[in-house]
Amino acid sequence: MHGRRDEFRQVALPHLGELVRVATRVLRDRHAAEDVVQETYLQAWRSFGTFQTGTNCRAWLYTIMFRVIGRARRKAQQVPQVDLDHAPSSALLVETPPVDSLARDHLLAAVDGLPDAYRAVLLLADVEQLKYREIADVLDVPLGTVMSRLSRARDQLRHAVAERTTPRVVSIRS
Amino acid sequence: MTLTPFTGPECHEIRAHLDSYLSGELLVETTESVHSHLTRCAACRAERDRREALRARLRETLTEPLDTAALEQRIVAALTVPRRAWLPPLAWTSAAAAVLVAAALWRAASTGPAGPAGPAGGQPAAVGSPAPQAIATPAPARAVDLTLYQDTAISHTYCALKRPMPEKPPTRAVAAEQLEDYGGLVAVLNEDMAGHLLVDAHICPNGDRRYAHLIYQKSGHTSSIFVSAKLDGGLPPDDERLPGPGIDVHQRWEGAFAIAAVESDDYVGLIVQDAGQSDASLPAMTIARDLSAYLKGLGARR
Repeated sequence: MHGRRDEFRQVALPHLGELVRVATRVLRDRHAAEDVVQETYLQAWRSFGTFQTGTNCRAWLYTIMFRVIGRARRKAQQVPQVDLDHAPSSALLVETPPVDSLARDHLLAAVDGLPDAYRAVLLLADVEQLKYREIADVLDVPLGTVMSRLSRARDQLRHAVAERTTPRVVSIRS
Repeated sequence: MTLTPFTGPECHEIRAHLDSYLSGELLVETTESVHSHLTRCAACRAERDRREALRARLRETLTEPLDTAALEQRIVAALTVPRRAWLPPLAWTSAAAAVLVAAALWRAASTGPAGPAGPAGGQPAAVGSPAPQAIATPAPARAVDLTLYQDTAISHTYCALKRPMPEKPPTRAVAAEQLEDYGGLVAVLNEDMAGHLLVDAHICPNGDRRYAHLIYQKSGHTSSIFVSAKLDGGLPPDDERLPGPGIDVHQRWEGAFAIAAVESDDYVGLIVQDAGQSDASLPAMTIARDLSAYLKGLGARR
């Protein structure tokens, strides 16, 4: 029993920091994030018997964590009211502004301003560097949904960052 | 912002693929096409560099180290609570059987076949409790939920004690609504809980469990009442028993909490209070009686 617990601690606990980081940005609340991550680890420990040693523990933990977040949101009735996956893309293409002068707080505000579903895929792809397929599994959505959400998330982030820096060249999509 | 066209239609196409190119997520042919364009187009190369820089800045900003030592300690402590789920099914069956057999043997050794008693010995038999079975002809093994008390204590800790309560306590009607299919619980419980104020009512998930959770406060003490469908079995047979009003009330100390519990065939109800709460206790026996009637009603509805 202790051997299994030690194994769990060895493979799962090293991901604690990044889970807290992602949960904090997804929920925009460190306290709530810690509760979610703690529940994630308790659930992971319960189902550790089903985890195959040598497979991707990090993605497995993310999968559990986003289920916990989903349940918490449903409980708080914070489900998105708008079908973001079928929302039209922005007609504006904005060039990415230089980030040298971008203040940290402005960047965080730009990320926090993204819709929840977009923020989650952006964090998993561009910060935690999960593959698109892994993100689809973690969020339990089709691969195409991940790609379209990512595209919109990156577009919106560029727009938000551009508004906080020097205006750059923009075009209207034909 | 200034609106101007990009250098050409091909740039539009390339820029739509640029992020996936940076992530290494494009097919080989598309990667080659983007790469080829970038060698010819200075504007798109500059855009690629800016996107790379933005991504790097994002990673740098959002991967700053966090102090998670306290959280890690809490998690490690919680992991020491014995769990059932990671025992393989056969081992679980054996473990449950072992508990049942051990409990039966212990009872037989401490009280003889004349009647049941709690582990403390000398406790009066609960009214309505089943007659003891002879060891030689045991009753069919009853599944026992070994983690019910721990899970309930954890839910009380993290849901009732750690989370901020709503600014305004719910009315009984609102509480009933918030408890969804367990809404009838509110009507069954007495409105006057010896001065305890109902401060929150909600459906509370904990792993596979789904609790109806009522939270009461009085004099700085917080207490919980939970109702849940049985997941893995009933209350352990070796609990202490309280002399209930025509019902079998189980009792167990779980860490700093005193938990009283009643069950029906399909449901369990639990009252959780902290150990030092004698001056501000919920009327546990009255609640247990009401809970028991409510659980039987739930069972009849199924």
